[in-house]
This record gives sequence, C-alpha cells and structure tokens, in this order.
Amino acid sequence: MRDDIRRAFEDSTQAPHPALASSIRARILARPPRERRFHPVLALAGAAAALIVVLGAGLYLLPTGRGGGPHKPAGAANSPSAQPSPSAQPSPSLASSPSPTAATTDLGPFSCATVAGGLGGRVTMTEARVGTAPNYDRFVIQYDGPVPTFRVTIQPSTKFVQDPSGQPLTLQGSRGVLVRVEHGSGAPNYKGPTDMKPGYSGLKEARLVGDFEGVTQWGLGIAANSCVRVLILTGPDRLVVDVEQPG
Amino acid sequence: MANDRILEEARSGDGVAFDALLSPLLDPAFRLATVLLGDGAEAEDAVQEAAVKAWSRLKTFRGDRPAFKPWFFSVVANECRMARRRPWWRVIRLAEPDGRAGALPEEIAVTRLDLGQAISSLPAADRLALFVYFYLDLPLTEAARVMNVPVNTAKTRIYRAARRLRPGLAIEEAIDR
Repeated sequence: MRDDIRRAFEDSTQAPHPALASSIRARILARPPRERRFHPVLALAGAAAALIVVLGAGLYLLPTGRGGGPHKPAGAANSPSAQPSPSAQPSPSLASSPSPTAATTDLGPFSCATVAGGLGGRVTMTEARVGTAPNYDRFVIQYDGPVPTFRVTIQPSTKFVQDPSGQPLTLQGSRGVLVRVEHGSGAPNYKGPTDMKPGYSGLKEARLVGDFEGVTQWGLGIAANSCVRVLILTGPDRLVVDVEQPG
Repeated sequence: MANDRILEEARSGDGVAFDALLSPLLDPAFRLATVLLGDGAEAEDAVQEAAVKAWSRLKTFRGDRPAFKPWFFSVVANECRMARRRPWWRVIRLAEPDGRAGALPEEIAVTRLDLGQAISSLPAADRLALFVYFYLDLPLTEAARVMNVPVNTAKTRIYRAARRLRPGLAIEEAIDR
C-alpha cells in the first residue's frame, strides 16, 4: 500500500519549475541578513587575490635588466577581469554575494511562470529605463530603497487596463507582462519616462499603466514565445525584468 | 559535520548557506503544496513565502540538521493553510465519518482502483497526512510536526485517511512504524 500511495502522489504532482529555486534564492539573498558574519573562506580567497594582484604589479614594475620592454601603467595590471559596465550590462542575480562580478555570470533561466518577491516596505520609484544585451532585452525600475513587494505575470495578450481610469490599453508586441509593485510609487516626484517603445526584438514597449493608491503597474509588450527572467539587484536597488530575445 | 556547519552558518545570516540547506527540499515542498492547494501557481507562491518566512525565523529554530526538514515542511503546510483561507477545523469536520460505528461516508469509499483520483477527493487534512507519511516517508513524530498535531492524533489521522482509500485496512497495515 505504501508504494501504491507513493506512486499515486508521484503521478499527480510534478517537480517545480527551475525558476522557483532561482526566485527563492534571489529573495533570500536580497534580504539583509540579521547579522552579517565574516565568511572565512571567501575572505581568504579575496585576500589571496589581492596579494596576487599586488605581487604581480610589483614584479611588473621591477626593472627587467634585459634592455627593458614597454611598461604598462600599473593600473592596467591591477585591473580586475570584469569588463566595464554600461547600464545594460548584467549584474549577477546574487546581489549580496561578496564574489567579484564577472562578465560571464549566469543570470539564470527564462521562465513564463509568475514570479513574486520583494520586501514589504514603502519606497519611491526614481527611474525606469530599458536596454538591450546579447540574448535579452532589459526593463529596469529603480528605487530609493530595497525593492518592495512585486509580482510579474505573463499574459497572452498585450491588452491592459489602466488604473484608475479603467480604460483599456493595447501595447506593441504579441504577449504581455504585467509588473505589479506595492508601495513603490513614483508620485509625486517621478519625472522619468512612462511609455518607452525601444523596438527591441524581445521587448517592444514598456508603459506605466497605473500608479494609484500604493499600487504601481507597468505593462510590457513582448515578442511571441518570449519568457522573462526577474532579478533583484542592489547598488542601486532595482527590479529588473529581462525579456528573452526570439531565437 | 559539514551539514551542521551549514546550519550554523545559515543561522548566523549566511544566505548562501541557507540556500544550500533549502535546495534539496524544494521538490518535495512544492509537491506538498500542490497536494494541499491543487494548483501549481499557488503552490509556487506558497513555497516561496514559506522559504522567506523560514529564513526570517531561522534563529528560532532550535533543532539540528536532520530536524530542519520537518520544520521547513511544517512552515510550508502552514503557509498552505493560510493560502486556503479556511480554518483546518472546518476541513476536518467535513472529513469526519458519520455517527454509525465503523461506517465511512459512501461518497468517498473507494470502489475502483483509481488511487490518485481517490486521494484528490479527500479533504486536505487527509491528503496532508498521507503525503507526509507515505510519500515523504517521515517517521510519525516528524509527520505530526508537519501536520501540527500530537503524535497520537497524527497516527489516527493517517490511519483514517488510509482507510478511506482501502476500507477494512487494519491499523497495523497502515502504520508500520
């Protein structure tokens, strides 16, 4: 009987989508720990890396005694391996990890499942912008504090209802993404864009469809068959929605 | 042991350590939430909220590494109870047999061997009892913790739920440890 019941539960349930684990991970790492403890292994790794850089710079600056070669500025030898970051360059989703940023960080998979997260609390939306990178387009909402409670839902059409007017709205694109944020209003000082039509291959339009009574809603028009990846980043605090570019 | 160190690191606020503790439990936790809520999206939400709550309450968890699993599943089960927005006692009352000694409600008697359908037609409290005991394979004491009831109540509930699937089942067959 035990095996029958176990098999019945196996058949009637399924494994979670991989996005669940990455969403949970992002929320946990976005919450400030109650006590930030010294992580000995990572601290040793950081100290070793710094020592290697210093030694390398020292050796590089020593006279070679062999007729000399061109000397590169010390700054070049000391520069970290990460590339300079334009605004659209991805930051790792593990925002509070002490590891150095690398240009090849895996940001996680795209998913069409609903993603919810953020911290309770009241912050102000300060900026909204779009950008593009290889394989994905990016929509960013920036805040003056930790990203508040949010929900990102994919819908089959680009039709939205404006809040509070109730007027229907259709965005460019083939399917829609509703980004709903609680207590992250831009009012009264937000002067940034409210309707962006970048014409990217994945992200077609990003429009503020509601900012009323503590609930802010952005509608995204995206390409058919695209899914999204949601990240919480810090420094500054941002809610990021990456839209998969069509293959 | 490495596992105890991970727990201590998580307790001290290391999110990476907590994620390492939690990751192996997400699959059974999601299945548990699906069994209780009957909806994949709601189950995802419940597991997410439970994970965040477990993280914020980790300092109050006094057990060792092996006790973390049933403790987390109890947080998931509680989250599902709140998501259902119905008090458990109401569900249990519906699941109780009628006044005739030894009789079970006919509408949930199993007449054909369609176990999955029979399980899904049980009240949530019974589904939870069957899931934690037979699928998660938890010992009675840990199953009781997840179900948030005393051990003897857990034993009765598991047996009652199993009998709804197989009338005439002896308790020794249902509860074998």
